[in-house]
Amino acid sequence: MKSNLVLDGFTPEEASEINEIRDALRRVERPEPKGLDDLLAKLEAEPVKEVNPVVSKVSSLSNRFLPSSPLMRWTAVAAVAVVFGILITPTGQVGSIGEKIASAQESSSVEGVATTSTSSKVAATAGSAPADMAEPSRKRSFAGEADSIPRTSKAQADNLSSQSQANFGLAIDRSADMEVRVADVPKTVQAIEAEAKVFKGFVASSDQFRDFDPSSGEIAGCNMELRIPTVHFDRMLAKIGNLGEVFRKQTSAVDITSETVDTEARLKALRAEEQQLMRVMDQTRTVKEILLVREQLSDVRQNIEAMDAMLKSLKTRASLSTIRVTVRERPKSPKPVNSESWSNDAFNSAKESLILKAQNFGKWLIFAGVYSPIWLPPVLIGVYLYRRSRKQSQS
Amino acid sequence: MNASIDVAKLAKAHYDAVFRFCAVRVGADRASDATQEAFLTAHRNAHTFRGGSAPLTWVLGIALNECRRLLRKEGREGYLPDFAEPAGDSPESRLVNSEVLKSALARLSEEHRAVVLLHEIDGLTQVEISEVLGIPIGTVKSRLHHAFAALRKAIYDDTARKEGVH
Repeated sequence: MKSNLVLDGFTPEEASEINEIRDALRRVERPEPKGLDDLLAKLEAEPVKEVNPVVSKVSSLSNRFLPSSPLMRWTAVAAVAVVFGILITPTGQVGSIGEKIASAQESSSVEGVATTSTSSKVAATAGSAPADMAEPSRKRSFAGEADSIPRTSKAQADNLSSQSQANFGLAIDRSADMEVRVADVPKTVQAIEAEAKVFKGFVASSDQFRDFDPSSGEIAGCNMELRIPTVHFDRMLAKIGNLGEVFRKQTSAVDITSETVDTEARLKALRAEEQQLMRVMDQTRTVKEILLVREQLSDVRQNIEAMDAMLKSLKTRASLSTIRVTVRERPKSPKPVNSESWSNDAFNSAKESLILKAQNFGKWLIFAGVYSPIWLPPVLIGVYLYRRSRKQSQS
Repeated sequence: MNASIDVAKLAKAHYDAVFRFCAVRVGADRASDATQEAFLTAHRNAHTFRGGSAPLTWVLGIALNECRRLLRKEGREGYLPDFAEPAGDSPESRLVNSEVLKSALARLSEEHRAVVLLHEIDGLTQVEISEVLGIPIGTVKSRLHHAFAALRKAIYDDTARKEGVH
């Protein structure tokens, strides 16, 4: 980016002095950048906000037709609203107190409903078995307003759930253990990996194995640990469940809100202490005082680093859920066991073999009969000629 | 018109520039947090990017707000970066040394200091400054002129007067 300062209006002497100031400004100390990897991991974990196409279109139109300055934009919107209100409201009835009160009551009742639904979702998020227990309570809270409130899809519900979690400052560490029985293990493992990518998660570990099953012999399996953004936790579980027969499923949610808040508060207090110590450092005069303050400052900074790391870990736990899934091959259906003796087996198999051979012979005879017009005349002629030549040789 | 933007790609390309931008405003120790928060905010609001300015300028605007928020939260509003002294020259022998410069910058108003830092340290053009701060380009020019006049006065006139008194 090229710098082009306008030095118009300054005398040559002033311009020279200003250039010296500019040189000094450019000697600012520039530290080495760090933290890009952390950021990329966070971006990977952060779900992409899905934009409602209608909202996007309205936003696009407003950006196109309204002024760019926020103040001008709101002024324009207010002006349009006032003009529109004057045009559609009959004179003498504009903004009567009764209407305003009714309108306020209506809006407050709508807000009440919204609050109920939100709190039910918070309860769902905070519960120990969120996905299973949340549904009935949500249905109960919506029962009275079923016609007036549009039902949300599962995806929207998940997003709302996470938003309410964020709004209420809740930090929930969610995890699940499940086992699915499938026909094709490698294909299922690939499908799970693909789903994890779709939900912006990743496979933390994967361990393929072969196990022995007494009824069907050797079967294949795979243990996987997935890290999925908490927003998509329930949907990911449902997707895995659809891939096969769910043999075992256990979910848990640990509330780490108090731990997070506590760590944040301690971090804030430590940072305040660090600032105080730095101010004290400015006032120190002797070497002894400097060393003493520096020692305390070093301790405080170490604690800040530790708290910061702990806070980051807690936030990661809250933002990424853990799903441990065991994919196991479905046991093959065992062969019917014949309880009779080996001689019966041999007799049965011989009988089956004889029947098969007889059938083949019969089939051959039928073919021969059908094709007889082709092969029979040459054979008869051949036999006749052979006998005739034999008679001639004897005579 | 909304333009789609891939913040992860943007971070890979411009992380260093945004980090140094934040380091000047909040210090090296807090720059990483401010930069990461700026990119995360950009990621969450990627759908609001209108494509009217360069993506980097857009992120710098977010980073500037993030730095201000961080400083306000920690009660360090008047933070100024350190400046290196040129090699082979004692600080006392130069009129424009680090301490004098910091003192002069501290006496500038918030608006004037912002344009000076953006123009001289971050190397933004006047158009880019107007996009980052959301102000007309004429205002940028005017603020730059007055800011440099005030800096010159604070460093040369005032310092020279004091030296004359002593």
